[in-house]
This record gives sequence, C-alpha cells and structure tokens, in this order.
Amino acid sequence: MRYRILILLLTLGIYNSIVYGATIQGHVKSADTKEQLIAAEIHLDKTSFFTSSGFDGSYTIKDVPVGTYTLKISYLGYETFTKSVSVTSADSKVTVEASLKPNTELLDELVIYGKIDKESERSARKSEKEAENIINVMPAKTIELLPDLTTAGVLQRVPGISIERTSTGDARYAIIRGMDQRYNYTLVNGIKIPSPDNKFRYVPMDMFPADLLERLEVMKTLTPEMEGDAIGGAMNLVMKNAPTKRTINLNVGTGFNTLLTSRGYENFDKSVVNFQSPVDINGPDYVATPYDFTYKNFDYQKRNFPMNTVLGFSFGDRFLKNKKLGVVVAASYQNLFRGSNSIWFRPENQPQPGNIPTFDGIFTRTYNTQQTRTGIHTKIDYNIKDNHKISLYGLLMELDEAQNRYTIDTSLTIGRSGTGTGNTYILHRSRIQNQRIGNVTLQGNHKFTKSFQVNWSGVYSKASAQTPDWSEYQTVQVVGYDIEGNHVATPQVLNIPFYRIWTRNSDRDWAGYLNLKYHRKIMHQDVTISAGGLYRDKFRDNVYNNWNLIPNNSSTGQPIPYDGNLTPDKFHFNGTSAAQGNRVNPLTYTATEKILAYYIQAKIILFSKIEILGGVRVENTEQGWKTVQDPKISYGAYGTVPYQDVLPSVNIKYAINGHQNLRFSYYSALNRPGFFEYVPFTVNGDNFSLSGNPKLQHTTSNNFDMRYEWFQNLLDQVLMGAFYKKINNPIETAVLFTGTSSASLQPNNFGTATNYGFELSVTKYYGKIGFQGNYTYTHSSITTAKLYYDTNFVAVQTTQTRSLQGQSPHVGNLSIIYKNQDNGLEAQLALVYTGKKITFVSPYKDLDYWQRATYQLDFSVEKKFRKRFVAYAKLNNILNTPIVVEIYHKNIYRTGNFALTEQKNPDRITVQKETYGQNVVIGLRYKM
Amino acid sequence: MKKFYYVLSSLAIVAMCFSSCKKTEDQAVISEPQFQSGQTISSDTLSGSVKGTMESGKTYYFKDQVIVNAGDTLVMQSGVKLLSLSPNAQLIVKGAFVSLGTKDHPNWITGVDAFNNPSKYKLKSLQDPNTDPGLMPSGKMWGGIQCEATTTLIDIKWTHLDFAGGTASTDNPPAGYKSGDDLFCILFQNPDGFLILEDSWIYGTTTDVCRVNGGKIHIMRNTVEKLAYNDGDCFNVKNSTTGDMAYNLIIGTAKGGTKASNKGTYGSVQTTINMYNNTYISGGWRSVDPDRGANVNYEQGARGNAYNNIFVNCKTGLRILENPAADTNNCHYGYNLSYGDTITVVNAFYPPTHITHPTDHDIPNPASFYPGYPNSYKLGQVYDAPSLVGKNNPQFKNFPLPVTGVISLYNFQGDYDFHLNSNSPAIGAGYTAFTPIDATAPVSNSYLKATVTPPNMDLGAFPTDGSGNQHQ
Repeated sequence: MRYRILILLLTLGIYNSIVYGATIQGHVKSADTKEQLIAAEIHLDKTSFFTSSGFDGSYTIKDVPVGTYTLKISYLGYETFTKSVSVTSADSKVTVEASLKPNTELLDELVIYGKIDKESERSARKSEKEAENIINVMPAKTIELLPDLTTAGVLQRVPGISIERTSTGDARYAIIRGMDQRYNYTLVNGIKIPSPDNKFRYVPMDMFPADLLERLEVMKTLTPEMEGDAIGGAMNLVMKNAPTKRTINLNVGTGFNTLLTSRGYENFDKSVVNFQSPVDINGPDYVATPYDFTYKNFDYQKRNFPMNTVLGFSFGDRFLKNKKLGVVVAASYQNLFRGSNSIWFRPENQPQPGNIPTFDGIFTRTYNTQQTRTGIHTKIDYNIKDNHKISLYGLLMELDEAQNRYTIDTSLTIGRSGTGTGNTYILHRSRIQNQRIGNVTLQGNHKFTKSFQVNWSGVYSKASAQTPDWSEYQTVQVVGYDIEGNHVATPQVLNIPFYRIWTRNSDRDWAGYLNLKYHRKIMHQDVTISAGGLYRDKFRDNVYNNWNLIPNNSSTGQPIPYDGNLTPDKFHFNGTSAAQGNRVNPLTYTATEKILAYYIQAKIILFSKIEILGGVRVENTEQGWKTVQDPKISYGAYGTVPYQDVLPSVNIKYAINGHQNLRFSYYSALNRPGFFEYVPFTVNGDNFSLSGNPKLQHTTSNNFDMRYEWFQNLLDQVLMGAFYKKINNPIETAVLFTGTSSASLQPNNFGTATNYGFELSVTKYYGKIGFQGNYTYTHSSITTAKLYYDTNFVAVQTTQTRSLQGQSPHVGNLSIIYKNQDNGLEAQLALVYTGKKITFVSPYKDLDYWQRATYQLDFSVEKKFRKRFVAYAKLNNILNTPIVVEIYHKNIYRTGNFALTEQKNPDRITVQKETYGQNVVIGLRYKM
Repeated sequence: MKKFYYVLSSLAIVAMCFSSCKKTEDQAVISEPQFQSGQTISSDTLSGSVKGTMESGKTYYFKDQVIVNAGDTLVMQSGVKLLSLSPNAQLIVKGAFVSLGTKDHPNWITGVDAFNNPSKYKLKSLQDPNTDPGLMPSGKMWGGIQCEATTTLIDIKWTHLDFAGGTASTDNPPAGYKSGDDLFCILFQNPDGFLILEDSWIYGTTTDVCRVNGGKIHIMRNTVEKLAYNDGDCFNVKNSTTGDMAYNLIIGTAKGGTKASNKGTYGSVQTTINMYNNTYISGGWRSVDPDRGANVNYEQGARGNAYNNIFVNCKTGLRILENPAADTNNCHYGYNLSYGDTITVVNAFYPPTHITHPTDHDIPNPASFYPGYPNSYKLGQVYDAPSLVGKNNPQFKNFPLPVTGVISLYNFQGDYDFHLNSNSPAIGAGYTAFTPIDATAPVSNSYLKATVTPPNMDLGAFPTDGSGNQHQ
C-alpha cells in the first residue's frame, strides 16, 4: 500500500507544480457494501486541515505542507480509518483510498434510528431501499435546496405526483399517479390528520411550511398496518425529531412577487372584518339590517412593493442522564404576498344545439392575496428504559389568506351586440380564509423482550376553517353605441346579489392506535407477526350563513346611479327570513365518522433474499350526517351509512443483490365518500338542481404494483415501476336522471374505472454535478353519464369515457444539481412538466375543460459561509408559466360578434388563462 | 271519487233534459254541482298534510306550511277564501292542487288583513315602491305555491293570488330553497305535469309569478300587477316547458314579462311557448340590470309564436336572444303594437342589442323610422326615432296616454280599463293563422280542463269581441 502511494505520489506530483502545497486525495467507501460514503469527515490529525467526502465519495485536501501526517476518516456507524501519510514535496499529490469497516456495536436498530441523520439524502435512499412497501422519500436536505416554501410545492418534485394550484398559482393538493386528492391521505409522523375542508377529507398541503419537515414520504402501496383509504397513495410528513446533540436552526428570508411589483398590490385591512356574523353576535333569531355589516372591507389600499417575510426557528437537544429526554421545538412563519391576473370566458352551462360550447361572459380578474402561514411543532421524547420510550407530540398549523378579487365581467349574453358592448359588471370581492390543523399525539414504544414489541398512540386532532364575512358587491351598466357610433354607457348601478357569507367548520378527531409485533426465527427464517388496530371517532360541524343585501330603488322604483360610496342606507333585505341569513341550508350540517380497524400481518424473510409482507386489514366504518332540516318533513335530514371493508395485501421484495431489489405488491383499498356527498339537501341551480346522494356507495379498489430498484451507491439510483388499479364504484358528480324527464347534478357511482401506468426515476451524480429525473405515464379511464344537446334543441342522455379528473398522462421532473462541498456552494435548476389534464367535468359530452401541459422552471442557490451560515436564494416560476384551460372543440370564437381573445388554435377553445409572476426569496440560515 | 261520478251522471241527466225539451226560452235556475276530491275539509284552519275539498263559499285559514302529499289532491271549490295568518303560510304541493273559482265566485289566497281591508293594501294611486304594500319587501303575506317534481297538476281558475312570495322560512324551506331565498309565487318543476293558470289575478310578488322548470302549461286571461321589487319576471319558463301564455294583462313587472328558455333541458321536449294577445304595461323599469326588462323574451333554444301583443311604455321591446341563441328559425313574431312616451322607450322597440327582426306588420311599421329599412337594414341596428314618441296610441278605454308623471309608477290596474276604444289601431291588426299549443289538453275533465282562447284579429288582451281577458 505504501509503495503504491509513493508511486502515485511521484507520478501525480508533476501536475501540481504550480500549487504551494501538496494534495491529499482519494475516495471513501464502505468495506462491506463497497458503496461510497458521502460526507465522511476527513482530517489530518493535529492540524486544521479538514474536509468531507463528496457525492461520489471523493475527497481532496489541498495546500498541505511537506511533512508526515495522520489521516483520520470517520463516518457514523463505521470504525475510524487511520493512516499515516507522508508528503515529501510541495507539489506532490497523495492518494489514499479508504475502506471503512462497519462498527458492529452500533448496529442495533434502535441506536441507528436515533443517530443516522434522517434529514440526509442518503438516509432517504436507504429508506426507499429498505422499506417494506413502495415509497419515495424527500429528505430535509433536499427540501432545503428546493425552490419551494410549502410541502405542496415539494410534492410536485416527487415521482408520479402532480399538483392542483390555487387561484394565485400556489400548489395546494397532490394528485398521486393520476388519482386526485380525494383518493389520498395525509399523515403527520404516521398519524392521519383531519382536514379543514368543509366537505371533504383531503388536506390542503400548502398549510405545511416545508422547513418543518425532517422528511416527506410518499407511500404508493399499503401494508395491512396502514389505513386503507389510499387508492392513490399516502403522504407522510415526518416532522423534525430531537437530535442527538443541541441543534439550533434559524432562517430569515424575504422576497417578492414580480407580478405584484409590476402592477402593485391592493388589499383591504383584515382588522375591519367582523369574525362574528350578526347571528353569532345577537342570537339565532336575530333579524339583521344593512347596518349590521361593515363596508370598510371594500376599502382597498395600494402598495407598490410588498415584501414577503420568511422566518424559521428550531431548537433541539437531549437532556438528563444518558440523554433520556429529547426535546425539539420548531416554528415557521411565512407572510407572502401573491397575485394573479386571469381572463376567463365563462362557458354557458348548456351548449348550443349540436353540443357546441357557448360563453356568457368575459371575466377579467386580478387577485391580490396575503398568505400568512404559521406552523409550530414540538416533540418531547423520553427513554424510560432503553427499551421503553414515550413521546408527546404537538403540532399547530395555520394558514390565513386575505384576498381581494377584482373582476370586470363583460356579458356576452346581455346587451351584447359585438365587441365593446354589453352589460358590464364590476365586482369586488373581499375574503378572509383561516384554516387550522392541530394535533396532539402521545405515543409509546415498548420492547418487552427481544422479540416482542408494542407501540401505541393516543391522538387528538382538530382541524377548522372559517371564512368570516366573505363578501362581494357589484355594479352594472350597459355599454353600447348611439346612432352616430359613439360609445355610450348607462350609469353604474348596484346589482344583485351583494352577498355576505360566514362559514365555519371543524373536524374533531379522537383516535387510538395499538400495534403488537412479535419476531422470531422459524425454520431459520426471520418471521415478524404484527397485529393491531385503530379506533377513530370524528365529529364535524359546519355552519354556513349568508345574507343577500338588495339595493334600494328610488321613489319612482328605478335603480339609483351608484355614487361610489358603499353605505348601508343603499340596501335592504327581501324579507324577514332573508334578514336572518340563509340559516337553513345544505352547508349547515354535522357529520360523524367512526372507524374501527384491525389487522394482522406477517413478514417473512426467506434466505435473506426475499421479504414477504402480507396480511389483511378490516375497516368498519360508520359515516353519518345531520342537516338542519326537519326530519319529519325532509327526506334524508339525517342518516348513517355503515360498511365494512376487508382489505388484503401483500408486498414482496426480492433482493437481487445488495444494490438491486425487485418488488411486487397487491393491495386492496377504499375511498370514503366526502362528508357532504351524502347530504341530500337539494338546491335549485341555474340548469340543474344540485344535491348530495345518500345512496352513494363507497369506492373500493384493487391495486397491483411492481418496481425494480437499483441503488448504485448511496445517492445514485434507478427506480422503474408499473402499476395497475381497478376502481369499483368511483364517485363522480354528474347528471343523474330520475325518471324520463328530470335530471339533477349529484355525486354518483360509475361502474369501474381503471388506472395504470409506469414510473421511471433516475438520480446520478458526476462529482459535483447531479441529475435527477423522473417520468410517470398514467392512463385512466372512466365512463360517466353525460348529456348531448342535439340540433333539435333537446338534450339526450349518453355516456362518455374519459380520463380521471386531474390525471395527466405525462408527468415529469428534471433537475440539475450542483454541490460543491469545498466552498459550500449548492445550486439547483428544476423543471416540472405536467401534461394536459381535465380540470372540470362538464355535464355535456366531450366538453370537459382541459388544462394545457405546463413547464415550470425554478432555480435555487445557496452558499455556506463561516461554517454555520448559509445564504440562499430561490427563484420560482422563472418562465412565468401561464395556466391555460381549453375545451377541445372546433373553435368558432376566433371571429364574429362573439369572438374571444386568446383564441389561437382552430381546434381548441381557450376558456381561461392565468399568470402569476415569478416569486423571489432570498435569505439566510444559521445552523448550530 | 264516488261522489264525483254521481255528480257527473246527474249533470248528464240534467243536460239530457235540456236537449230534449228546448222549444221554450224558460230560464231555470239550477244548482251547479261542484268538483270535489276526497273528504270535505271540516276544520277551518289548514295545517300539516292536507287533502280533500275546501267547500264552496267557506273561509279557511293557514299560518304555516300546508302540504299536499304526492298522490293527494287539495281542491278549493268556488268562492273559497284561504287566508293567511302569517307570512310563513305556504302551500307545498307534491300531488295536485285545484282552485276552481268562477267569475261570480272567485277564490282568494291572500293575507287576512289584505282581504279584510283591500283599500289599505291595494292602493289605486301612484306609489313609491319603497312604501307600497304591493312592492315593499315587508308586504308579503304568504309563501306561494311551491311544487316538487312529483306534482301532477296545478289548476287555478278565477283566483286571486295576492301578496305572495317573501323569503323562505327558517322552519322548513321548500325543496330547492335555502331559508331566506326569494320565493316564487308559483314554482312548478315537473316536465310531465300540468300547470293551468287562467282568469286569475296576481298582485304584488317578491319575484317571478310563475317559475316553471319543466311542465305543460296554460297561462291565459290573467291580470298581473306590481310584480317584484327589483328582481323578477312575470311568467318565466325553462327546461322543456310547452304551452300558451295569452290574453294576460301584465302591468308593472320589475324585469321581463313573458319569458321562455330551453335552459337545462333534458328528455325529448324543446321549450315551445306561444305568447299572443297579451297587453304589457310599464314593464321592466325596476330592474337593476339595465338590459333586462323586456316584454316578450325568447332565450336560449326556446321557440314559439309571439303575435298580437300590445306593448306600452315597456323598458325593452321584444327580445330574441342571440347568445345563447333562441331557436331563431322557429321564433315567429309580428303584428305587435309598441307605444312609447319617451325617446328611450321608442328607441328600444327593437332592442339594438338583440336579434329581433322588425316585421312589416308591426305597429309602428319599421320602414317609418328605421333608416334604410329594409334594404340596408342590419340586424340589431341602432336607431333614433323621436317621431315615434306618443305615436300609435292603442286607445285604451281608461288609461292616460301619454302618462302623466313617471312611467315606472304605472304599475297597477286600479280603475284603469285596457279594453280598446273603437278608434284603436289595435283593432283588426292581428294575425290568426297559427294555433295555440294547448299543452294541457290531456286534462280533459270538464271541471279541470283549460279553456283555450285562440288568437284574435284585435291586438292585446281585450279584443273587441269580448273573447279575451274577462276581468273588470
């Protein structure tokens, strides 16, 4: 060995004649697996020369003076590597290839659990490799470098996931392998959390600031111990854990949105909004007057350069003897100003004869939104004895949005005789939305014997949301031409409706989990048998109240020209019950859900090569609802729906060798109807009446997966997978025919849908440069009832087969990552491709709305300095990618009296176009 | 039912007697049998689910929801008063409702106070709508007739429906409503059901008099006044509705008069409505929406014949919607008389924003004011015709034209008389070469069936031969 070094030293020495000192270089790898070890600590003993290994395991120490040194290489879980190195001349190059032996004493699972940095990328790869089921993991280290501030943003980087955006372009919901948010659930530290949504159980993923995550896991197949309502998949947010030594992180950032800095930001003062409605203040029978409402929420103040604020803090340490007590507290605060400009051609609900889409208005909208996101979580864990651990976890996430939406609506139906004419409505909407999720979990892990473990959790969660005084007023005037061709307009008058809505809903969730695990060798094979269960009791309360202010007419009965001052004397109510608000309405209801689930599963490892995890889970559900209607008179004023699902599953992992796995999996899953989908309260809509459907069946599915995994080293990997899902009784809202001549829009079950596809994910590092790419192809198919409005002016019943709403056939990510360990510079350029997808299902055949494929490009960079500081910048949506929604129909709106703008394609009609501008964040992180 | 057959057979015998001995002119006074269904209602207050017959000449009360269940029938014989004691009083009809008033013995559904003190509530002078009991929001005395998809028949003859509407009660809003929603006077929503409204009076609603989301209808010879404060059409039908709206006198609607749309249609029926021989007075002025408030409206995919109407001082003229388009090939119209007291009114006889074709048989003749008509005429063309102001006065027996004061306040009939003087240009100006749809023909029972008045050579609801609207 020494000779070899000497030879290398001599041969390589020539190239280094310019530098002032010698170079020591080489690679670090594991002696047993031969994998590169990344970020191993390398130093020359008793000197200040120090480095760490790069992503291919390489290291370099430069400018080493002549002399003899002791090279020490240490890596967690391995014995320290020590070697004496002689540097004989200033321009020499010494290569030391290091193989580190695993430290067997540290191999106990529990110890490793506590010590390996779960936030690192290599730990993520390791988890993916070692998992029992098919998962993707996004660790904190990766998230930190991503351009995203929220978990929803991060999700779009995960293979097979695309996202639904808000009206200001922010990612909100995840679509996993083409299955939209209703088919997926969200866990925090493995515990399912409730949603602040007032109708459904899916959780808005933008409530979670990304910097609170230790890692984000996406489970694409289920094991029996997991809850069964994930036909698409489950997202597990693993929050930061107490570290082994004191850690303090600080993060301060600011930024702006380019759309707002170019056009200004205009919003109302949140403090003027009445959080309590007139009946909240005065009791349920209160008859309100227009004087009970504020009108100051329509005073908009303009700001030219609103600056964002991003703050983060975390503290973690372990205390007491043997560091028995671990504490972590983390908090995040984001105050972001967002905006969008959009144009929307509102399709008339019913097409023209011949089923040709027609439009009733051009809506030009500007959104101004202030998002305030606060997240805090804390975990205290205590090791009672080595094998008994108890932890208390608390989380509170809050997202406040204050939004001003300004709309100019030019009617295409009323008063329209060509471009520049027609009724013109100006609408001002002021809305505050406050969403909150809280969770407290007490958890215990007990290892009673070497082979018997118990873990339990007691969980209390509460999710809530409110939109106090969500209101919009509007004016109207008709614009036309006089006989000389001059533009003329009638005076603006206040229009109907002027609504004031208060909504409030909460979801209270008690749950208890118990899991028993028994492990032993049977016929020399590892066998783990687990059994356990879950009980959940959920109570949801939804309150909706709406007051419609009606503008007063003059003493001659005619509308009064609007003077620009919005005051209560200009309005009245149409009746006493109108002045009491829409107290009895479908959205004031309670819902309950009780789930008793239990499972048994066995994991068998055969010949250290094949791991089989199989078992069955049984979930007993009872969903219920209660409206405010009188049950003696109204059908379905309350009801309950009990059902049982038996969910078998098996996950097989075959380790081809130490680097490659082949997985097969089958699981059965369900999807529960949304809480509101049962409620049969009917409301007459413009075209059809709308109501829930108490006869709804819950959805079940059979899911088949396979994946080939190749972990070339600790970072590089290739994942190739395929899946097939058969979904029974999928729920879609569609026209339901009752008898020969009546129809209504209702959620309903539609036979069988299928969804299949494949995924490819590749990560490859070449020294400092890494490439990450993934691509998912999905094909889904569902057939639902539709109408076809024929040339005889009658709508005939038909069906249409289409892809699932939200599913893109092609979804992909490509990023280029630069990481220089020496100077601490890291950068990432990330491209997200989302293929076309259905965003709205029309009741009419072939008139669904499709969102055009998008390319989103983001960039982020960070630089470490003074060891503990990192300066970073994130640039989001570099291409200012617009969202464009289209109907796939011959475009007759490029010319003529009803021509629309933005119509470029003869075969597709543009319905909507939205732009959001770029988001810039710069900041500083401190780590101790 | 037995009683009903007995009544019928005795009627037949009486008729036979008449036909067999018709040589003399003696005028016998014979008792009129009355239509009856089920048991006679004995209580004088209706409450809960109700079926049976309200006896001729009697007065009944209601104060909350009265429900006619699917399959059940509630009948008001002639001269029955159903008086409301509370604005929450309401008829929910899931089965059938029949009100058989007669010219001599009309029926009433109204508030008890309005019935007892008509002069206090039905004011016969120009009123500020903000204080007029007929229009002010607080003036509503009962919650209208609300039907469901199971309703087979609404048959209302010679009945006063006054001060109906308001907003849905918090106790139990009818199907399709949230509490606090504006209530239609009649909501009908069964495309296979029948709605007959004839010779009746409607006064002071909150919003539409009839909202029909599917049905076979017959709306003839009614008088409608003071309809909606600022948001409501008179007869507004959608979703596969067919039938006739004729000989109605419609005064002072907030928005439109008669309106048909094929919106939300399903099944095999296209909305087809004839609107003929109606008289529309001062319509559309209270609408907040500046382009609404037409007298006759054909919207999205609807078709029909609109002839022989008289439009006086309506805000917007006959309106054929271009987008989403009416079934323009099958909308036939003409022979209508338009009169206006202001330049705004006359310039909207053919609303420039719509695709109403002027026709040569209209009064005024389009050639008299449209520049270049018909050669260089363009559909929807803007025009300015001050010469039309005050022209073609329809010569009503008693109505001030030009009006004195503000047009919009002429929203009631009062002592006005819309019959035609002998010098009226409306006489003999009509078109009769089309036939009524008679959509309710399957309702053939002699008590229940509709009386269809065919189109007349005279325009308006009151032709000189006396065959039209029988009121006043």
